[in-house]
Amino acid sequence: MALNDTVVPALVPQIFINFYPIAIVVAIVVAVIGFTGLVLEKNDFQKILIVQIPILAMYMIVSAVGTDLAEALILPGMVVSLAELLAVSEILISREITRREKEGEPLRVLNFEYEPINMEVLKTAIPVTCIVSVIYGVILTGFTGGAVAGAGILIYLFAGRTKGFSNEFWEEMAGISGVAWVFWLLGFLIYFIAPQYWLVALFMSGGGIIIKVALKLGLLGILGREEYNR
Amino acid sequence: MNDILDLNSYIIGHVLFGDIVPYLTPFSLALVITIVVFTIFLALSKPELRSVTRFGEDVVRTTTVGKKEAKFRRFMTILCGVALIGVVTTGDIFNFTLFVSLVGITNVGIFAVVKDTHVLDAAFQYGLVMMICSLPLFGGVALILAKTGTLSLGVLAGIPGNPVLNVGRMLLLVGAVGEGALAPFFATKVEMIRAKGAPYINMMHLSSLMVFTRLIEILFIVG
Amino acid sequence: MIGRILNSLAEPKNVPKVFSVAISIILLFSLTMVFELNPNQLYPKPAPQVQVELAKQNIDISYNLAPYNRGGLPLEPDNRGIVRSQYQTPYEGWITAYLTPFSQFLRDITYHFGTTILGHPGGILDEVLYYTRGYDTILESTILFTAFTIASWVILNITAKERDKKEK
Repeated sequence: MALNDTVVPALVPQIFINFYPIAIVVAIVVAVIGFTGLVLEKNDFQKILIVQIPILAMYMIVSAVGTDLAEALILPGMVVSLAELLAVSEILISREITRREKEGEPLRVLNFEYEPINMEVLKTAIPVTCIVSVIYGVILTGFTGGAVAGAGILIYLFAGRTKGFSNEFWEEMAGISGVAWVFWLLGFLIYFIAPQYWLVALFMSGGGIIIKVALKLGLLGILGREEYNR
Repeated sequence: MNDILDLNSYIIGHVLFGDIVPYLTPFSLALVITIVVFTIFLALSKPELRSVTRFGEDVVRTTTVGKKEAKFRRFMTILCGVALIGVVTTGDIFNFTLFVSLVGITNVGIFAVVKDTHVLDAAFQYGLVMMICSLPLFGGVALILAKTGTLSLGVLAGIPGNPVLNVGRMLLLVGAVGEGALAPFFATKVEMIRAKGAPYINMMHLSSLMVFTRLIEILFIVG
Repeated sequence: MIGRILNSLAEPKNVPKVFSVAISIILLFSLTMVFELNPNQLYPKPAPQVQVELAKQNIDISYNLAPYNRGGLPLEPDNRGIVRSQYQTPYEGWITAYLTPFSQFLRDITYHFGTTILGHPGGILDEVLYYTRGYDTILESTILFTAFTIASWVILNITAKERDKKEK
């Protein structure tokens, strides 16, 4: 297919160029609003939530470029901010636990009172959803597949009734997922070094990443459930 | 015209990884050797045990570092060393920001497992700064990309500076200062250094130094 | 006065505030600049809606992948997709048209399949993320898994121990 404006244009279309200054100004305004909130806020938990506003402004600045490259750059930005959110919120929890242990202040545990609904579909739908999403995730492979399969396991762990696994079991699972990730990296390197063996690389990286992501999401799910049930 | 060749007399070699081309100059080779030696030194050394004496008591207490905790912190230290090698050799600004983010998150990881309220508080504030700084880091890179149409340092080296590019450089500076725990952030770092288990903490100083050195070079190349 | 400022900087709680104010000041000053997009970009994409309109006219089945149609056939060196990368690499443009059989079926029956491009293997974004900028993707997932490691360590060794203590 020849190079033309409908497939890959020679220059960026005029509409992106016209919108760019507006998008940047809007992003700056959003960022300044978010930072003002961050300076005024005193509660640490609220601060974590407000930080997401400047990060939103970051997505706006990146996506204003309007090329496929910008679209591909948003994904790492999103993943980095997600990772930081995960680590920082865990640190906040452990800080609170340590502080209260020291000061002898009891931890508040929320007790919800509710009446369970007895319906057949609530028991059967959850495993079926889990199995379907795991199978679909295996078909998809790669990062997306791992996320789909992991989401299925998450649904099962959050909503379904499982027998409890011990901490040791999940530590071993974490070890397995580490090995799987090494497989993914090796597969990636084969793509660059010896592209003629792309099929081997595809199987290595696809299989590795799906085990890795699915297990990690499952780990977080079971930990979250145990947090909730304590 | 080429800033990379102006700053370093010649390029030893480069690796073609698609659009991202890491390269090695005599200067970055020296940095890499420093990082490797320092990381091996830290990984092999045992955690320091500190004695605490208090006024009014006739006892000396020895603090201990748990075996599991030391293992985890050693892992984070080694990962931080690997990330630092990436920081000094990468040839792409977006890749540079990702490496700096990895350095930041491993730095937090070294301290996140200490059970000490003030250390955890300092680590939390550091994490908050890291999240704030993802705006200037990625935003600055996006401004540079929009102005010049490229992310590769090899191409950026031949492009002369202009005011909009300077905004991007300034944002990049603030972002890397926040993620790499540099000068104005030293206060929080001092709080964190009060954590026990000394050798791993030194990684943080090394990471600040290396991130800053590389950042200055990149700011010269972009401008 | 300077002593007081330095003292307040020594409080970890104030550091995020200092950073917020500094970044806000830089951003507000930069409002005086004229921001303009350089039209000569890598990996450009066509104007919005152009490919959907063409797909509705049934000129070429590949336009059904709108707005991510970049031409070419999968894994064929003679008929590659068009990829404008920074440094030409030997295997670029091989997977811009790659679709699984199920995705192909979906593409044949609807004009809007391109909106789910992230949900299936292949396509221009996979070309960028996994081939020309593959190093970024390795790093990105390393960062994510480092955060996973920190979070799960903290949960397993601090939060979970607290729970066990409570049960006793």
